[in-house]
Amino acid sequence: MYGSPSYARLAPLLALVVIGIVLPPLVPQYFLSLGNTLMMYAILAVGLDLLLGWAGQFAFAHIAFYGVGVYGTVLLQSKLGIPFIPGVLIAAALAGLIAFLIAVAAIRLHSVYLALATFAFAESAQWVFNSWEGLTGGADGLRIAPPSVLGWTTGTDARAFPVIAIILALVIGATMYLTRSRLGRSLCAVRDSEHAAAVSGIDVFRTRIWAFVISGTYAGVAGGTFALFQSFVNPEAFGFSQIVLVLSMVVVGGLGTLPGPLIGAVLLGLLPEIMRTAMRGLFVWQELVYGLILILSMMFMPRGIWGLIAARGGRSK
Amino acid sequence: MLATLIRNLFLGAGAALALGSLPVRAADPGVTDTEIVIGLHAPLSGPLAAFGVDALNAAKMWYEEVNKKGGINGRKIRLIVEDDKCNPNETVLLDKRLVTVDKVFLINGGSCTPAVFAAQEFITREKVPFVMLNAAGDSGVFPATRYMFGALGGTQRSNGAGMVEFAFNTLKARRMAFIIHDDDFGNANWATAKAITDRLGVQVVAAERISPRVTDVTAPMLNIRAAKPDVIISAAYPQPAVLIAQKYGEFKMTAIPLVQAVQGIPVPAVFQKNVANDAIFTNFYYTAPLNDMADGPKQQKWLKMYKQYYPDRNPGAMMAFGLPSAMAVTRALEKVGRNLTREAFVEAMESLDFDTGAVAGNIQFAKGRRDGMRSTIVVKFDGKKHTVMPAVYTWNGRDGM
Repeated sequence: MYGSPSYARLAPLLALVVIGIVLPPLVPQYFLSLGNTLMMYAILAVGLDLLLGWAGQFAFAHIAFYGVGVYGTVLLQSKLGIPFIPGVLIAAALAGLIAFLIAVAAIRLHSVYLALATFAFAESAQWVFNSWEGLTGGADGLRIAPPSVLGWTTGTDARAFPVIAIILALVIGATMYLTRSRLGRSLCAVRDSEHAAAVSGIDVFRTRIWAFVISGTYAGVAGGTFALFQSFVNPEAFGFSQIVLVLSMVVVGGLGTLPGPLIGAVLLGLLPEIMRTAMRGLFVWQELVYGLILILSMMFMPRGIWGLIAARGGRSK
Repeated sequence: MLATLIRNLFLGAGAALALGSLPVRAADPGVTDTEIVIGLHAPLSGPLAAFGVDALNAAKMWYEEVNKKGGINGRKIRLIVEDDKCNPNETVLLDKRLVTVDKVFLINGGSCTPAVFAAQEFITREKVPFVMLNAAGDSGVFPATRYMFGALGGTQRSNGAGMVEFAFNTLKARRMAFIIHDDDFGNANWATAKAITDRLGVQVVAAERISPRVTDVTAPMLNIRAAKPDVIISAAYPQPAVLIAQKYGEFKMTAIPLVQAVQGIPVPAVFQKNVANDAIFTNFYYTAPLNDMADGPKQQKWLKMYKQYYPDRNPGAMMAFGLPSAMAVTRALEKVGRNLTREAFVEAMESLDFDTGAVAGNIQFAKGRRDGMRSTIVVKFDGKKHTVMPAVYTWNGRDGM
């Protein structure tokens, strides 16, 4: 479980990149758009899981860092002419920096108090996105110009698809290395017992801060991918329903595992479209169905779908 | 040599005649010899469903009426109906499916401005005509883009203009107070209201911007009371509009006229029940971009037709807002004739100028104009009776731009 991941575990990432390059000319734009959305949610969910599942920090500010990533990437490009790659790196670093400040401020808080403090931050961030009209366009929203990635102009789903597939592969690869590293072990130790971790020589304070920073940076990267295939953003995209959706992806997929949030992102990301096409009568009950899935998951699959699969197959994380 | 040339000329002419007599085949997706496929969407679930369900039903009803009469130029209309929840990202994804998978000819959809605005870039790139269902759609129609038509129930600019003109001309108000949301709807409304008050030399004594999710309006209403206005103009949505009306009554402000924009009072009876204080209706007015009250004599034709199609449903005021867009679509399709292409449809839309018999003014588009209707009426409601005020207020297309 620890040390560098094997080539066999890294091979699916290569397959993801190949699919990302081969698929666009073969399928309609709608499916590519759906695929882009799912990959973006996957990055977001993996990032949240690092904080929630691996480090055990019950925090809700993730969607705000995602917003910082979206607006950061878009505004760096439109206002300062900074291309996508440095733009998304700066925006992700900014999200990580804000996460650092939140972590320092909220470091003494736990459980519901941490949840409330970070939720308040997420709400404040949405207020800022809504109110800072000169920069974000406020409630009217902001038109996103197609970014250029090393001369490859995205802006359509087909052109964004390979780029997002590569970014997702890099994020998953980085997470594999991270969760198998010394820091990954420290995150798990802090999650399981802060006291035990502390007496084992782990700097709990620093580990918790790293969890926030890395998770916030992932959310910033996810925000950057949003700019690759969407042409419009407004603060509605960073509301409470989005927090619940990403949280559901992590919980339903399986907390504290890498395949879990990926499974959750695909299932819950596809659910509205499946309901729209195959279960039309149920579509109006979408929110209720989300709630039911979450409740049933907590009752019957507390370790999520991947937990169930791993238990049946006798597999570890 | 000459004989060969003559023979080839005759063969060519014969072939051209034969091809000309074949049924016309349109090149654009969504059109066959027998049908035209239209994507129709609105919020049918979630908190904004009240804006979409009846409007979408009304549009569907109109298309079915057209089909009953034989369709358009020999083609029947086939609808693909979807729920967009007024969510921008879901709307874009949905429109991508309608265009690239379902291969619709055009889209008639959207009840919320951010959602239709989000779709604008995609439909422009794909060159697909998009006629908004009942979204005010200010940011979708200003500035005009080739493929997006909207505001067939008026924009927030025309709505804001109507309220200020009414307050100035009929109520003779010279000190106005505004309570307006801090979202795109409110921004568009406020831009026009402010421009007109400036032009008319009216003093704005209070301009309170509130969140659409506000749960208490005590502070803004106390500010307005302290400013001693001649009129209070509210452009709030249903729930905040109820809160405003309750505080208006509680703070004994009923001597000051309250003018409420249509979006806050989609069903007057429900509004009255929720406010639960009939004293507020002493001096109460609301705007409507319809040609009459929602259940007035001029609307009866549509209400009867709606009851025939949906006998179990009591339509809200939004019902009639769904008709003009469907009417505009069918008129433009008729104008184009059998050689139906998306480009020809856009040009036909640009030439429309007609009375729907449902909304306050003519539906009118032109090159460079994509907002379809600019008029509004005002209704006085005393808690029992609705009385349409005599004038129709029409925005000049310049104030607030």
